[in-house]
Amino acid sequence: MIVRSLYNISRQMNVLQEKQENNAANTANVNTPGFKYQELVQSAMQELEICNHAGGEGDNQKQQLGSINFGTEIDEACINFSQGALKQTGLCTDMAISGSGFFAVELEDGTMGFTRNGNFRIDDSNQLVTQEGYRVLGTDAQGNVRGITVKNDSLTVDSKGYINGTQEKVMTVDFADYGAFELKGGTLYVTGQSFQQAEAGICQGCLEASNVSMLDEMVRMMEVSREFESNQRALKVVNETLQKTVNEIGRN
Amino acid sequence: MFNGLRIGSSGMKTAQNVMDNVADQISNASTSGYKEKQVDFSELLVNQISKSQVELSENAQASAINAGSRAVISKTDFSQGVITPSESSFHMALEGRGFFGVVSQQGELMLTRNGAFHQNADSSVTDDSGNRLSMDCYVPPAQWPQGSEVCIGADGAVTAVDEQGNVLQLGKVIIYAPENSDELVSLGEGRYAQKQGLPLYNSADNPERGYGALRQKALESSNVDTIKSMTDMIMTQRAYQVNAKSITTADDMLEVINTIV
Repeated sequence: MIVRSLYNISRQMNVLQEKQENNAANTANVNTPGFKYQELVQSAMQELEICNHAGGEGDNQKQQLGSINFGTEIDEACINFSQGALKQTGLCTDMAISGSGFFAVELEDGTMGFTRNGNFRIDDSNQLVTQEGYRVLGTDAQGNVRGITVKNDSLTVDSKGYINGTQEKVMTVDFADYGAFELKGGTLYVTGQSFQQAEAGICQGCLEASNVSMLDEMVRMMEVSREFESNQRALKVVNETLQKTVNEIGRN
Repeated sequence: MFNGLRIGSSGMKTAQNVMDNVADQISNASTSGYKEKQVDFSELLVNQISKSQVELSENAQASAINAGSRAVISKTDFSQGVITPSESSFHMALEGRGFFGVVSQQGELMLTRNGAFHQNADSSVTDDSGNRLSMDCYVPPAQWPQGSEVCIGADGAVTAVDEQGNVLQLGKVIIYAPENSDELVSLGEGRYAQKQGLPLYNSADNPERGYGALRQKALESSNVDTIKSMTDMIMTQRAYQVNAKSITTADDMLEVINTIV
């Protein structure tokens, strides 16, 4: 059935549109500290067996014609957690993690969010918070999780995360599986899986630049746009064929 | 609905805002007492990929794409600027985390790191906009000894030597400090105000806290790093260009849709 190819092509065009949105979202955050780029992976939809009762000999029998798929779908959105470059800012409230690990912050509903973006500030109640105002979590000498209080602009964090030379520490966590993150926006991730506290290399006075590569995104955009055009060409050809079927064959 | 155009334009707008700030820093690179401001990119919230727009497999159900980026004024860099010598007795610089207080005509107290003050014909000590320097006066400025030079110590004590050679205690320049400098609200012209309801300490009432040392006949240069600003400018320009490319790509795709038939 030729109409089916119309739907197949339009599905692929939808996938390409979504991919372009994703490319645009990556490029819009090309300078966002701690941002990790996302890739959309497409796959063919599930194959189905088709059969036919054609005319002629054996028209009372079911004939297997093989398998067919109904086009393409988005299979997965993968976040690439590769390290971004460290950019020096010299501010004591800026931190970057080199290597694996995440900062933990307290979200408005009391649950934890995780981020690589160490662009923090100090709020009116002297707490270390993210730009959105979520409290950055630390641990005290007993290992209790709590916010980080800063007085007199004095905040020094060593490479293991210890604050001002005390046993208090900026909390850093790590996960077994990076695939289960859910995006929350604002370079925050949430996840249902359990985390373990892990030592991470903290670099104070630095920010981690986003790991978006301008060149790669540029190439991906060209790719998407050309692929979109060829799909449109194919759609046109199918349309012309249909036109012939309906208007010309039908007339004779 | 195809969001490609809108996401691209949010990226361009962010780059524009960041560029505005870079220009602001460069133009203030030689303003005395100026503190560098940082404007950063920040990711917007995400939109779930909806099943009505595209086919999704089992494990792509929770996938989302962010709505672009925005610019955030993240903070002011209050690090020390270089102290350069000056001639005038009322040019002062602070070494450390304190601020001078200036009082406007309306009686409002503002903080500044710009120590370019001068004594007017009516003996008052003001900055270039006519705001009075906040100080304790033991002797009214009109009665300060004429002709002898005023000396201001590291703690802000104002002294002068009279004709008989006696050292006169004239007053004290008050130095202010908030609990954390991030709390300050920028008022422009290098002046800041403390937020309502938050404590502001000063060297007269809480001398035990650290305020830094005052240096007379000196001015603090701005702490803008022009080379860093230039590289920021290049980076921002490239971000602008790549976002412009994402808009043209989205536009091309929409045109392709419109020319199907």
